Amino acid sequence: MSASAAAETAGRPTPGILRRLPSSRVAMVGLTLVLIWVALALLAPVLPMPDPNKSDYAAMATPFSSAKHWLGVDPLGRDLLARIIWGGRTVLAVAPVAVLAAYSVGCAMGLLAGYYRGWVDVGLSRFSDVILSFPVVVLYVILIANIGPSALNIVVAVVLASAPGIARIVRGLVLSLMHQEFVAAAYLRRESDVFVMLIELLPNCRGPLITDFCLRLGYTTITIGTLGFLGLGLPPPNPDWGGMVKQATSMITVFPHMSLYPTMALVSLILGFNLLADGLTELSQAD
Amino acid sequence: MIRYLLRRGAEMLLTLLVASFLVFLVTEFSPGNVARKTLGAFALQEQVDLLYDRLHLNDPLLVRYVRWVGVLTGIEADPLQDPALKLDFKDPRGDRYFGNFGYSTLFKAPVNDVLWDRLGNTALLAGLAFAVIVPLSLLLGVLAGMRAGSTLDRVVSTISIVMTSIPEFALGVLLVAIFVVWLQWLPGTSPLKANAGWPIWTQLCLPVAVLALYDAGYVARIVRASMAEVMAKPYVRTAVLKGLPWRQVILRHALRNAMIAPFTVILLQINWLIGGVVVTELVFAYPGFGRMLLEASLFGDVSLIEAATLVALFVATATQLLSDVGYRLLDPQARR
Repeated sequence: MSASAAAETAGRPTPGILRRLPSSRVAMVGLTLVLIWVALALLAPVLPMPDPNKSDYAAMATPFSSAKHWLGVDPLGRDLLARIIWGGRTVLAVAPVAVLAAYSVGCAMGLLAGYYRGWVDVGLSRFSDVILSFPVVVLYVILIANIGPSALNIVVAVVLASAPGIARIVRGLVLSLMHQEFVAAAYLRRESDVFVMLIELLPNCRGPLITDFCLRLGYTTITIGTLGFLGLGLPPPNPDWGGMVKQATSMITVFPHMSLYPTMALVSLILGFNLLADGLTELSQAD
Repeated sequence: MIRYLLRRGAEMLLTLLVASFLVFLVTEFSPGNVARKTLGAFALQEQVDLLYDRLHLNDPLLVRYVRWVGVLTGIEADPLQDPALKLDFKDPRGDRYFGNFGYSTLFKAPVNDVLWDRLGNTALLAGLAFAVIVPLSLLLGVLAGMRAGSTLDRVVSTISIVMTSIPEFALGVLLVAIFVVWLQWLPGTSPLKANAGWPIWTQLCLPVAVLALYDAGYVARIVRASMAEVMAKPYVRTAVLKGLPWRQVILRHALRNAMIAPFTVILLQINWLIGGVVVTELVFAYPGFGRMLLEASLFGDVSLIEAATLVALFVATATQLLSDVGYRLLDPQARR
């Protein structure tokens, strides 16, 4: 999935909380930050920038910002601005895909546990407890180090680490919804279990999940950056913000800009997601 | 209460067992890998085959896991220390004792010789960070939550959301850029020994700051939310209306109830700290547990990975148990 599809899911017009978004200044600041990166990521192929993976050996002598390289070049003489924008494209593609995949698994687990109760619930909840007892970074490190670093494996790791948490939220919501009249009505109409779960229950879990989704986008962006920094991110030469910082930290005393610019890019995107989540929480509490 | 403790203790043991099996599954799923990783990249294929045979790596995963538990609990001898293998893996504690985590191929020493020193260093780091996080986040959170919506609240809330948006490694890079490169007040690495004339305490400043700032932002937000909620309760309004001094309203009435939720959150931060130390220790080359775990994972040091994750899991589940018990003691409503 590309960044455009990700932006579409984030902005799908759901009645209620998302329509009131403009009334929260915090949320709008966050949304603006995110949209700037989405726009840059979408425009990356048409922007007049140098190739992000091509070294400019002449620029390596003075790697600072110049007319040719606005933000300077990285330790291998590659244009920093181009690498940051292309790196943003990767993050904005991988993070939403990973969170959406985690949501599919987590919602399924939560729905099954909350709907069927009994041993299904016990099994799924125990499994979630075990996964949630791992320190998150430790889980990522041993998993990625063993299955190998790649975009797909990052998605797999995020699903494994986040789905139990999502399942816990969904299960709680389903348990409280099961007493509602519309669920009883669906039973009377003899709807199938799958219908009740997907059409009656899941849409009614929407409110708290939208906020959680934004928060998880922020966390996942942190995770992708951190994995890159630990050397477990996307394989080179693809630009990856965390990896760029890792590569440049050994030169931080001489060329601090090489690590500072990708760091700031990463922080601004995470801040965007977090502010958006914060604004959404505020709006939902105002109800 | 005792029955509750026993039940929770048993649950914790079960969690550790299942989790250690999952770790075992991930690290030793392909048996050929284990022999190859143990011997290193330059071993001959015959040597790998011999070890594969001796370690019975052909057995089903579950059998191998039970054997690993056997070695760990001292029921079975560590097969890697068998002199016939000529691996020269020697452990002064013998090859059969409780807590035998095996032999680290990365450090060429028994895991127990490597693990605990590193863990001690990390405990120092995390302990100092904790000593900063708790007062800082409580103070900021209470000040902000005391008058929800005030200027102070807005300032504190904004700072804490910004702090939680900076990953540890990014915070490390930013602090190094400011205090090491620009101001030159502090050293950029913390090997905990003589480092170009920097005393040990200066080496601890930046790692502690990274861990503390990242977590304090999060905890302060929780404290603020809890405090703001309590301040909106009728009993606090009554206390204000009957003319109690503001200090007393806050210290005697509001704080007691507002501290229950943060108490559990603060203890659960230990779980986050373990993750945080992996990154922070890497940034500052700190000789700790987290960096060791990362190095072991990248190297493929199977025994050390399993041992380190088990220890991390133990710390995480133990603090969770502690926070649940504490919660029951603090909040009479939770006991029912």
